[in-house]
Parts: sequence; C-alpha cells; structure tokens
Amino acid sequence: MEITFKDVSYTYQPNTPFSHQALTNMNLTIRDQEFVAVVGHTGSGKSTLLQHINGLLIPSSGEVQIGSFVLSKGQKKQDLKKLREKVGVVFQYPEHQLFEETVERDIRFAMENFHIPKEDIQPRIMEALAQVNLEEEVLAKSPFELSGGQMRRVAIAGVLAMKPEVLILDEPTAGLDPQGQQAIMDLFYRIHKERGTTTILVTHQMADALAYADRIIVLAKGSMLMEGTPEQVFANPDLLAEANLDMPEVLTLLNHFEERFGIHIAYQRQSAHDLAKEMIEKLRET
Amino acid sequence: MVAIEFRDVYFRYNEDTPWVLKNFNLKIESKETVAILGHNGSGKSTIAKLANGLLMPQAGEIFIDDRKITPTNVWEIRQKIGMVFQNPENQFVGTTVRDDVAFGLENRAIAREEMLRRIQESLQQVGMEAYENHEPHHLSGGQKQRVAIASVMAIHPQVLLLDEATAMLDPRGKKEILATVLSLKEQLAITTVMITHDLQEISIADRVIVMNKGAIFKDTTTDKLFNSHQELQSIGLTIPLSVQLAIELEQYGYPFSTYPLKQEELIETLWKSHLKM
Ligand SMILES: Nc1ncnc2c1ncn2[C@@H]1O[C@H](COP(=O)(O)OP(=O)(O)O)[C@@H](O)[C@H]1O
Ligand SMILES: Nc1ncnc2c1ncn2[C@@H]1O[C@H](COP(=O)(O)OP(=O)(O)O)[C@@H](O)[C@H]1O
Ligand SMILES: [Mg+2]
Ligand SMILES: [Mg+2]
Repeated sequence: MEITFKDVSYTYQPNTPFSHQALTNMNLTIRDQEFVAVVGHTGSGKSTLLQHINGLLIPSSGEVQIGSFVLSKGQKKQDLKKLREKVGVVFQYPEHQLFEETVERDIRFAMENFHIPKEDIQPRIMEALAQVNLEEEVLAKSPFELSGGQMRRVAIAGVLAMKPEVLILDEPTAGLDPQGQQAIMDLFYRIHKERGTTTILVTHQMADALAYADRIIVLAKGSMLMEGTPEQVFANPDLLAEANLDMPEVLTLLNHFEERFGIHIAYQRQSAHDLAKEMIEKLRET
Repeated sequence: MVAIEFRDVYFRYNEDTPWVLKNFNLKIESKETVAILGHNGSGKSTIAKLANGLLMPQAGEIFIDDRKITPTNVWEIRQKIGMVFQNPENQFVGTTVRDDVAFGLENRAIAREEMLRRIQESLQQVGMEAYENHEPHHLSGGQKQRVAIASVMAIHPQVLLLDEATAMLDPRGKKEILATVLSLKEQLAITTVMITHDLQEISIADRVIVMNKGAIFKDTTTDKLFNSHQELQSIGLTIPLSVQLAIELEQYGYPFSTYPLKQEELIETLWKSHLKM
C-alpha cells in the first residue's frame, strides 16, 4: 500500500499549557512494497509519525493517505478497523502488551477481533510461530513464563498472523541480545521480500538502516531533515551529526581506510570476507 | 580485598526447574572493572540478584567485601553493592530528582545534613546537579539512568553493578552512561560490574566474563577476548566488524597480535604491516 503524508502537522494536547507540536509540515510518500527506515534522536517525532499510519493519531492539520484510506481532521468517522487489519504495528516493547493467559490466546486475540475465518486461525498461528522461531510447546505457556526475547517473539507472531500489507516497526529489537536482534531483523526482511510487505522501521541502529532500507528518512524536531537512499543519507555526515546520529560502523571503517591508504572502497553490502578481499586486492595494486 | 565472591553456588527459581547456576564460582577483586556478557537467559541477572541478596542460593556461599550474605545481614550488604537495572521507567519513587535520591538515604536513617550533602555530591558525580528539582519522568532515558546511578552512589557502595543499564537507551543515552561510569571510576575507588552486550562498555573493562548456560565460558581480558572468536561464535555471540575484518585479513598474511575492538587500531596495524611488505 502506498502511504502519503501531505503537509501533516500534529500537536499533542492542543490549547493547554502542555501543548506540544511533535510534527511540522511533514510531506512524504512511501511507495508500495518499499522498506523505509525512520531515524532520529529520541523525541524527534518518530513514534508520532508512525501512529498516523494506522490511525492511532489523526493529523491536527494536513492529511495522511494509506491506500484508499484518507485520514484528516475534517474527514468524517471511518472504519479504522479495516485500516488496522491491513497495517500491523510492532510497538516499542510489545511484550508489555501481552495479557492473555496463554501464548496461543495472545496470538489468536487480534485474529478473532478482526473476524479472521475460524478455520484459518489455527494454521496461521502455526505459521507465525514457525516464522518467529518458537517451538509449539510455548503455545500452552503463560507469556510471563518466557524470557524477554521469547515474549518479544510472541508479540511479533501476533502481528504477523494477521498478514498485514504494511508493517510498522517501532524499535523492534531494542533491549534484545545481539543475536536476538539479528534474528528478528532477518525475519522482518524475509517477510518484506516474500510477501511484498511495505515496511517502515524506526531504529537507532544505523547498521540496520543501511543494511535493510531502500530509503532513510531522518527526523529532527518534528521535521524531515533529510531523506534518500542509504548511500545519499550517509554521504552527509555533518547533517547526521546535527541530528545527533552516528554513521554506520562499516562506513566509518571504510572512511578510516581511505584516509590512511588513499584508497576508496564503495560499500555495496559486502560481507566482511568480501571487504577484506577487496582491501587486499586494492592494496596490492598500489 | 575481594569485592564479590561466589563459592560453589547452586541456584534455581523453582524446585521442579533446572539449576540456573550449578556449582558456580566467581571472584571479583576490589576496584576491578568487570564486564559480564552472554546471551539472553545465560544467568547474568540471576548472578546480579544473588549478589545483592534479592535472591538467596539453595547451596553455596556468596561474599560481598569478604562478608557472607545471610538472611539477617542483607540490608547491610545492599549498602555495599548498588544496582541499576535495565528499565529507566521502573526505578523511580520520588516526585523530584532530589526526592528520588533522598529515598534510599531516608530508608537508612541518615542525618538530614549528611543527606543533603550526599544528594549534592552524588548528583554532581553523574552530572545531574542542575536537575535537582526536575520531575524524573520528564527526563531523557540517559538522564533517568544517571539519576538511578546517583541514587545508588549516595549510599556510598563499594560495588556498582549495572544490569544492562544502557540496553533501553538511544545512542546518546548510552554515551552519557558510559562517560558517567568512566568518570566514577576515575573519581572513586569503586568496583564496577557491567552486564552488557555493548562493545564500548566492554572495552572500558579490565576483565571480561562470558557466560553461557549458567556457567563461566571465558574469563579473560578485553584485548584477548576475541582471540577465541570461533568459540564465542559457537555460543551465539556476535563478533564486531573490526575483529571480523582482522580475522579475514590474517588469511592474506597481515598478522594481528590482538584482535582490535577499535577501527583505528585495525587500520593502524594494517598500515604498519603494509609498510613492511
Ligand atoms: N502523549 C503525549 N503528550 C504530549 N507530548 C508528547 C506525547 N507523546 C509524545 N510527546 C512529545 O512529542 C515529541 C515526539 O515524541 P515521539 O514521537 O515519541 O518521539 P520519538 O519516537 O522520536 O522518540 C517529544 O517531544 C515527546 O515528548
Ligand atoms: N523469575 C524467574 N522465574 C523463573 N525462571 C527465571 C526467572 N528469571 C529468570 N529465569 C530463568 O533463569 C535463566 C537465567 O535467566 P537470567 O539470569 O535472567 O539470564 P540473563 O540475565 O543472562 O538474560 C533463564 O533460563 C530464565 O528463563
Ligand atoms: Mg519513539
Ligand atoms: Mg538479564
């Protein structure tokens, strides 16, 4: 589904002393089946932006279009349930929202809520469970008996079982160990590729933005500071520093290499093995 | 002096579940800076909770500052070992930063003047003195964790134990905590234990302990850690890019005496070898 923001501004608690404008004149198009990373310092408006995509927030001014749904202040009430069926959200720390007595009931919950045909539910649970790499045994357990990493997977399985066309991921790997982070990012990428899911990822990990995103959007103080392919965005270290963001490790390393040896190596998602090989080949040429 | 010692410790959460720690032994000397890493579920937080008496072992003994933890002295022991946990939201009790730091002191019946002095002192140590009257929940994640550290430091512990205290923070928050820990280390003769997955935090430690399934898998120094990269990978740890590249570059005859955690180190070693070729 294509997603368009037209002059979107959003103010929390308007007309009160606590009024706070969190988004200012956002213009943005996310193409169908695109993988977009949204990066920016804490408080820059990333979560606010995401919550507009499933109608959790309605723009204070401007309009958001998601497929055929239009969200704007003037718009008369629509069936947001239809939208939310298609837009799956993995919130920050989604395991905090688990509440059912068993894992199975937690994964089942959204599907029943959205009236997925009864006969589809069980197969979808099994499929989602396999996708997040959990054993069938956990279905009967209470989510609270599981480790933090397992609880995260249960919460994600509940979202995946809905087979959303759009996946919104708000720092989905925060707080996990490195291997757990890798496994979950690989999972989202695989689903994006296999199902053509339009994916919007909020992350602090520039390495993930570089590795997975077709396009990166940099937010600062509720506005778009920069957008472009990872190559374009990371060619702008000064602007990134302004947004309090780091460069991905592999790019700083290649920069150090270039400074020292005067040899440029373009990063094209090479493995460490291939990067080393390229370094050596170029060193031997000199 | 020994800051923390586990002697033949057995611990499990329930009688019908497996041992989380089985005949576990660990000794951390006073003033050491130690990083503990390992995959989720390897027993790191269990060690932390045993060390400050939140949990009691089913068998074996635990000593803090050479004193054995018993059910009757837990309260005194907690004065010696201050803990900061992962979630900054869960650690606040006061309505202002000052109240929050005061809370632990009031609980210990410390005289008012001394209390005020310590609040000042500990907020200064973490660089939060300007926020005394702020409400904790309006602070950034990194600031919240610094206040949590100040609350612990106000008790004057011998050991500061951080259990993934930066895992929920953004990059700036992580840097703030790292700088705070480094500065505490310089100002005070304190033992620091950091449970972490973060390479930068690991790189400021003198010693690194790698946990795997409730046992110590490696007990080594930071610079030697990745000498056993194959084993570390086999237990699911990720190898930093600079080390991965060093391993690959060795195949082409560029030697590394230690695997570099820092990119600059990698490039400099490569440069020196290159000049000799
Ligand atoms: N419910 C709310 N009420 C008032 N202000 C809020 C609310 N939620 C977020 N904000 C403010 O809006 C800004 C953007 O927040 P958010 O979108 O959560 O940022 P990010 O996800 O980039 O950290 C911040 O300054 C935040 O304090
Ligand atoms: N409160 C608890 N009840 C039952 N089992 C627990 C509890 N806390 C942890 N465990 C189990 O103990 C083991 C070690 O957990 P923990 O010490 O939290 O590991 P780490 O901190 O390294 O992730 C894991 O198998 C975990 O599932
Ligand atoms: Mg957010
Ligand atoms: Mg833990």
